Amino acid sequence: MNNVIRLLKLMKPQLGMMALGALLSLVALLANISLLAVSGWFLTIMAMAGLTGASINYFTPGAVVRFLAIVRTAGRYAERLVTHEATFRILAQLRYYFYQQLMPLMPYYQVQFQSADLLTRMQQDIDNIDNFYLRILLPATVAGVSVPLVCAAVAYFSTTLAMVLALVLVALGVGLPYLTYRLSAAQAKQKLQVNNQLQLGLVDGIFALRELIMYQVATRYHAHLLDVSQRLLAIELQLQRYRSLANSAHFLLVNGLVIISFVILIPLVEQGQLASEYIASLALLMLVSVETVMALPLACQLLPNTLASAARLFDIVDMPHPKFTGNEKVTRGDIVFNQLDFSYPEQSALALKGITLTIKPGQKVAIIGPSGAGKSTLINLLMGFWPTPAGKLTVAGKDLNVLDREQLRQHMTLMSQTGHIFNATIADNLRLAKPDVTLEQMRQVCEQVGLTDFIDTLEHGVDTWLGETGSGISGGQRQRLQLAQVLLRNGQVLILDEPSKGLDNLSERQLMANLFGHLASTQQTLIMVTHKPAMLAAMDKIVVMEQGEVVAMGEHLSLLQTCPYYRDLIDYF
Amino acid sequence: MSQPLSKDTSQHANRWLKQQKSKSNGLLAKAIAFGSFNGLLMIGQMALLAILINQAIFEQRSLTELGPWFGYLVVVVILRALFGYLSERFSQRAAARIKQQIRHELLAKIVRLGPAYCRQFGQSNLAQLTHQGVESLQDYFAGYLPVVAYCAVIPFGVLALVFPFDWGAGLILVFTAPFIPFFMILIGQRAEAMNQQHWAKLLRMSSHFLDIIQGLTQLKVFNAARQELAAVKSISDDYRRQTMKILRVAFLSSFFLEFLASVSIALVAVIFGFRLYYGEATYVIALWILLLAPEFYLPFRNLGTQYHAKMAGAAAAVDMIKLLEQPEPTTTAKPTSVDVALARPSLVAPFTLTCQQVNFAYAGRRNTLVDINLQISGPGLFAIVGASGAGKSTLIDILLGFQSPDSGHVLVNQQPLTPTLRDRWLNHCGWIAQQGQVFFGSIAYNLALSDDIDINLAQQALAQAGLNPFVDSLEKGINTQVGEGGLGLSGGQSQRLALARAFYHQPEVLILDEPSSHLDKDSEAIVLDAIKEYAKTHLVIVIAHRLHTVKQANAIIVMAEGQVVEQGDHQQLLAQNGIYHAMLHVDSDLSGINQEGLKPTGVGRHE
Repeated sequence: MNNVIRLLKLMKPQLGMMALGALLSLVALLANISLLAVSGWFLTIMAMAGLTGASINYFTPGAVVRFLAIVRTAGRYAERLVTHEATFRILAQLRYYFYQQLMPLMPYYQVQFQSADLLTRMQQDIDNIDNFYLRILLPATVAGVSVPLVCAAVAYFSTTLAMVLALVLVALGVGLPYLTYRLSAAQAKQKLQVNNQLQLGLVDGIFALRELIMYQVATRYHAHLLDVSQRLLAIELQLQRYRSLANSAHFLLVNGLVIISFVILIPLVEQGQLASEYIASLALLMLVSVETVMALPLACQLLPNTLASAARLFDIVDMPHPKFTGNEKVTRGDIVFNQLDFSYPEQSALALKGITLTIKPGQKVAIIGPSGAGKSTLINLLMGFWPTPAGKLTVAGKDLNVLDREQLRQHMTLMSQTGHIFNATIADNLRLAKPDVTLEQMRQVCEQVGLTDFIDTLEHGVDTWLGETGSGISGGQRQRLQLAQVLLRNGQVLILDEPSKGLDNLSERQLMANLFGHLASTQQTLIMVTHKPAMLAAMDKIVVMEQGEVVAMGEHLSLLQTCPYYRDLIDYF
Repeated sequence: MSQPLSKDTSQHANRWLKQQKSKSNGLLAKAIAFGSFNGLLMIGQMALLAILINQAIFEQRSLTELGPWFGYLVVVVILRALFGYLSERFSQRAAARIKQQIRHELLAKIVRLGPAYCRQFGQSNLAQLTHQGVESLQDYFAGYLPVVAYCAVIPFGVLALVFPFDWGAGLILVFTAPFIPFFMILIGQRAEAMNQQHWAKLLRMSSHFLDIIQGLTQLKVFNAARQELAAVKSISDDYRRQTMKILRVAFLSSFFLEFLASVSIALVAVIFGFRLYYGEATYVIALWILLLAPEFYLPFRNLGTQYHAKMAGAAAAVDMIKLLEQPEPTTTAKPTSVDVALARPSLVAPFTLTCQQVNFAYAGRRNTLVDINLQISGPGLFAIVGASGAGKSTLIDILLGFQSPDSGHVLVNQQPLTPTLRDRWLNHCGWIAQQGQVFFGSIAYNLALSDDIDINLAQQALAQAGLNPFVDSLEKGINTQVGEGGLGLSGGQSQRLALARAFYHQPEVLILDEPSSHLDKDSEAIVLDAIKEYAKTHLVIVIAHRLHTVKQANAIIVMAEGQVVEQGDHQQLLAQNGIYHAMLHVDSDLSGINQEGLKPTGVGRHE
């Protein structure tokens, strides 16, 4: 409930639009219900007047019927426009809010977010609550208002009938969906499991098709998958059976209601408590009054999921925010790690242990080690995403924590292995790194990283949209584009995480030669994670890491002679 | 939303989908039959209601006098509930049967096309297609197709019964009915055109948010996170405006349906009202037609709501057709006179693999393999080296028969490797991928890849791969669940598991793509030693990324740009001072960067 209130608070600026949508929805619904009832009544009195020859005022009811027809149609159209408009406005509001809230949390909680695959789930969660208004709040509000209204109208003629109607509507709107939900809960859970099993089986099987064929088990695996699929379909059929039963029950309840209405109304007419012309319109009203609760079953079905999504999102948003208040200027100088221990927030294991390392301005330093050794952690720390123990990591003598973050990230430029290329044009991606970049500069930097050949093959050049089908870029081109971004940033310290991954030797050497040429002219510091002997030889210092510790340090040639582990590590080509 | 399809492809897809109906073995026909009965009974039910009301109002009948009519009504209502239920059940069962059948065909086709094609198509896409793709056909078969049938049956049924009683009322319905498809097509086309126009833009906008969330760290690295915050709002607003523009048109189609349904109710009420007033019509008929009017339009309205099912079905079908119509490797192995003349040794170890003038190109690309001539005879360790894109993996695919050469011959023990021979040949082969594949299941299952497991052999294989201390340390030992959702294995452990899998199956020929990223020290040593040992008695071919491996190989095949450029053992190749020498010779590279050996001008084209 708390979360519902929180959601409503977030939607507050759109409340007017939301209320208007609900009002229109209500009007259209009531017009629709009355249209049939009034039509039935109109037919009856006209027939009566025809039989008795009495003259009646037929203009007003006739006009009402036409008016209701128009209100119903126009109302429905307006309702759809307004409610969708409100939905999209809410969407904008929520996205703004969540982005703003997430900003301080990334990549601070990177470990937690990755391990639980939170980002992927978050997409689903935000999509879920996007629908909160249209699919849950709106139908609930409309039903909440229209059901009492319709029942009150019926009560004017017969309270018994009104009570029966209320009961049936509650049964249809809430009772039946709840019952179905309870009955199918176990199978729904099972379906999720089997569905997951099928998904995994298919992914495994297709990715490892070669193994399956070679070990002669492809046919058996195929049969196994079909078996899982058959099980899934059987569970689906079970679930659908409940839904079909509920549909039949729904039909029986509505039509039973009509029959009961006769049973209640006809004696009332006989006793003279009800004018006979109302029988037709009340019976017709029973048929169409179901529309008041028509959208409730779906709302009931979505509610638990949506609330769970909201809870998950608010849990993320409520995580303690890291505080960075440093505002000191960043100056060029030695980067010094002094017996630094580091563990990620809320993790007990140390990711880095007793790191001691000095990097002088203009130096070229390589970091090498097996995966999981802590290389990426070490270089990411320099971007100031995490607070470091006081005095253990300093830049030009100042503790990293007291430095202004924006300046720090201007000073240090990171090309990370998990770097993100945005779904935008090449130029946009470059502009992200340097907002005022000129076309000439773009051209130049693309030349440096060897992207010009590729760009020249594109119809729209640097204005080509990346990430669309057909114009995707290869892993190698991705690396080059990221390197181009880093070079544009023009920071004092370049931090590169395996920049030549995915490139063959020849391209790699050319790319690196260009990079080293660039460095020679800019005097930037270089910190690079790499295993390529070709690059290691050109570095001033090589840091060998294993399991969060620095195990050796020195120049390439001396390490080759003194450190067998180093020789092992670079034994790739 | 799915990408709008071109007219031809979507027609083709719809034709294909309709053909799949036959897979339901008549279940779908039963579903439609029951649904149609239900619709016809509806007409009778409305008549009964009208009669009941008429007698209650104008003939002042009491409840008891009306008893029989109530009886009929109850029977009709119960029958309708039953028919409705049966119709739904049959359509659901039909959809399930069709889906299973299609899934079967897709999987069979995937196995026949083999791993090389899977890579081309995209393995994740294939998994997606056979899973959610097939699931998305549910609504097409269980929802859309029956509704199409009802659109034909129910309105005609209503008209056929109304006309004899009152042709005037029939005319009202007839005149409004043709407008429905007319307006729907008109508006549908307009919306479609707008959709096409805005499609790419909308897609970009809707994915923008997810994109920046995923790239949040990157934005912070570039100090651009704040400025993106403003963009979230403006892009969401743009998205709203663009989408509403389309929706305003799209909603028009339902507007017209509503309009026609409302107008016809109003028309029936008003016109009949006056005809009743002047005594030109009977009340029963008037009421009956008033009750029928909304039902008359109901199938059309349902069709509107099922339209997305049709679109989604067609979108999924396009990819399925693409897969199913993919030509399979043909059995055109055209045995040459040479082959026929040769005596045919049976397929037993030791194996000799021969490539004669093999050429191969992927569709639409320049030659991946050019004039390959080579011979590999086991036992022993053979290494293939070369830059990425040099054709190493393709060569392996050719040697295993997953791809057929465009020209030239591949011989296994002097027999041409035809698709017919392939399965027998693969019987003798084993494969270890660059990243050890872990299957969802127990460790034992991961070795045998079937439920029928020889535990002793499994233990032995684990020991050979150096995994037994790890497995023994687990509470459930060899029965521990691994893979997604189970115990997570490190890269080194997965690799060793794949190795154990190979040892379990004891293939005569073992082919492996060496891991090119760094595993922990122990794993690497164990994997390498085990393979070296295995190569003493078997033929082992390695796509090598490690200096160690190639040094110990009996022969090294050096590839560049689709050609075998050098062959020989480590010493011989070094002595040649060619490409291999350049690849390995670290020391010359060292100086290369510091000295003028490489000038910062060249731009690489090889990736």
